[in-house]
Amino acid sequence: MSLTREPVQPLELDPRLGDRVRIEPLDGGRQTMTMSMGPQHPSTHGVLRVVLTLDGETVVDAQPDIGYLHRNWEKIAEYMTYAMTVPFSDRNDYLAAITNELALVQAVEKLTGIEVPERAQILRIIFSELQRITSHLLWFGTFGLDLGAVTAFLHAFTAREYCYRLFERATGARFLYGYLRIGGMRNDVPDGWVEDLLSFVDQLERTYWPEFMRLLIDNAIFIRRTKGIGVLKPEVAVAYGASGPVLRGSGVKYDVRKADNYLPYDRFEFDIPVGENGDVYDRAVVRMYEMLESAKIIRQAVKELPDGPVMAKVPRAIRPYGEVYHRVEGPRGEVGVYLVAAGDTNAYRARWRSPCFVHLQLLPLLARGHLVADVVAIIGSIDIVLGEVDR
Amino acid sequence: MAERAEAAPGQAGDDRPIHIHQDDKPLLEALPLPAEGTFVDPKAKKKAAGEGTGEEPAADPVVARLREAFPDLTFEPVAATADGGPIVTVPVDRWLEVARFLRDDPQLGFDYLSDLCGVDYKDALQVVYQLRGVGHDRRLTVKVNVGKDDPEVPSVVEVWPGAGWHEREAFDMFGIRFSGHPDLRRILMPPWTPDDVFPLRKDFVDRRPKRERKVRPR
Repeated sequence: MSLTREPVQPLELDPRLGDRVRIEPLDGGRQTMTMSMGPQHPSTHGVLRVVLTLDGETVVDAQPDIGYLHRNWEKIAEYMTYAMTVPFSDRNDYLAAITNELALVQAVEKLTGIEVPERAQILRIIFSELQRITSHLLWFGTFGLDLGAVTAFLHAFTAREYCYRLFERATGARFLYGYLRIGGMRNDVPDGWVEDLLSFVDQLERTYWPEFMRLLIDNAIFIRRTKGIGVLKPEVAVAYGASGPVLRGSGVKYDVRKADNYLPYDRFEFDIPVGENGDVYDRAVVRMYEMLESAKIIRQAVKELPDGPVMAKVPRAIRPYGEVYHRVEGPRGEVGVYLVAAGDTNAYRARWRSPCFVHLQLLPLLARGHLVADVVAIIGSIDIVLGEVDR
Repeated sequence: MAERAEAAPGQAGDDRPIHIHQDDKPLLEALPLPAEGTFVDPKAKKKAAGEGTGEEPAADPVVARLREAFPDLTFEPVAATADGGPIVTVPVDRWLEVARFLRDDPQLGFDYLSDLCGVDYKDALQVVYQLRGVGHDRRLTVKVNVGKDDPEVPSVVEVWPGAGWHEREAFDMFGIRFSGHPDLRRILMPPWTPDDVFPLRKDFVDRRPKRERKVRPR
């Protein structure tokens, strides 16, 4: 039997559907196959289609095809008042609703010059760090699932449930909170909440975190699957505007919390974990250590939590002028909001800069030369949320 | 019921192109390009008259360095964001040259393109670049205005490769063409969107057929 095959003609398909499967000849009798991973695929974390060009099982090219969840937040935000936009922005990165709200609310506060009470500032730090832990816990679970480790998923969701109970008690919602307001927070935290938060942080540091490290990160199979896969060089990461754990996994010590100090983070001591090689393993380890750093910030913030109101006096109709670009460090990276205000209750232009949108364009660079199963690991390691990519 | 001359919008037999809809009007009105770089509160301006608030951003070291390097450009209108960051305007034909300088100059070092987006004004389209750098806290907002008849801006993909998808999005939403972009296609809208539909423009009308409202019989 001869190994050389006849070249196969490209298939004729409905052009509206794009190229589902196409086979084209390569040199030496080999062929590349173009096929879709997604839009409905168990490892794409949402509705993402990746058009893979394969030589055997090796990826020659991987082009993401996005827009399936596009609802044009930016246009709808132009029709809504600033306050109405806040709960809607929760839906962008639905795994980190607090940091979404924070970016938008602080942008409006900068435009209007509203001073937020100190208690609300510290509570915002506590909630955004708790949100970071929650988001990283979900990432830990689903990343394990992508690599075939089902047990990690179940353990991570047990810990995550603890977080969501805390969120539910304070905000009334488990997932999409609408908790931050322009000028502060909707309500103060209930009695005994802070003690429960501390007991969760204790449990995370003592029980969950070492367990997760033993279960997945230090596992020999995990290391074999992730070391040296999807390497992102630091200069490439900066040039592409990567942020968050993706940038820090490449060894660039850059964090918007330290660079912009948008909340009083300078009062607290915390490190920025960075990786060395910029591969999937480093990004994973950076996320794991970020959980510990967030726990550290929560402990310090709870000690400094002052008494007082959580809401400033805010005019009934907010009609600012000017423009502002405000960015915060979300769990996935730099969440930016650009607002142009022309003296109306609505923004003239509202722009949402999402970190995952930027990270996803790195996928062809990261995936080239690896196997199809590694593409799954790479997508998991950049921790995409398609609601935020498509907005 | 009066007989229908044509099929219901969106139903079988409706052969009108989807993007033609007679009775809808855009809900938002485009405003003229602000002369002072950004929208300024008219009341606040009266209060601060005489103090010369417009000179503050021009004294910014980043703007000063730019003026020193490009003596033939004024970068006006120069303004400031609400948190005090400088905004400069660059003519479209010089933008690529200025962009390279902004990245490579050791005193500026804007190696991190944080954001790129389009804004629609009455008389022009605007591309807004948010520049930051790793390792310093300088910041700069650059605006490039381009006429609506032939909106073409040089692509900065060669300077900041991460601009690729942002530029595709600005093309998708505003119809701004970025010359030199390696792969300028729609990114978020479906590929069968008509060529003249740009959703974030102020004159955009949502021309999708209205969904029929279903009422439960009593």
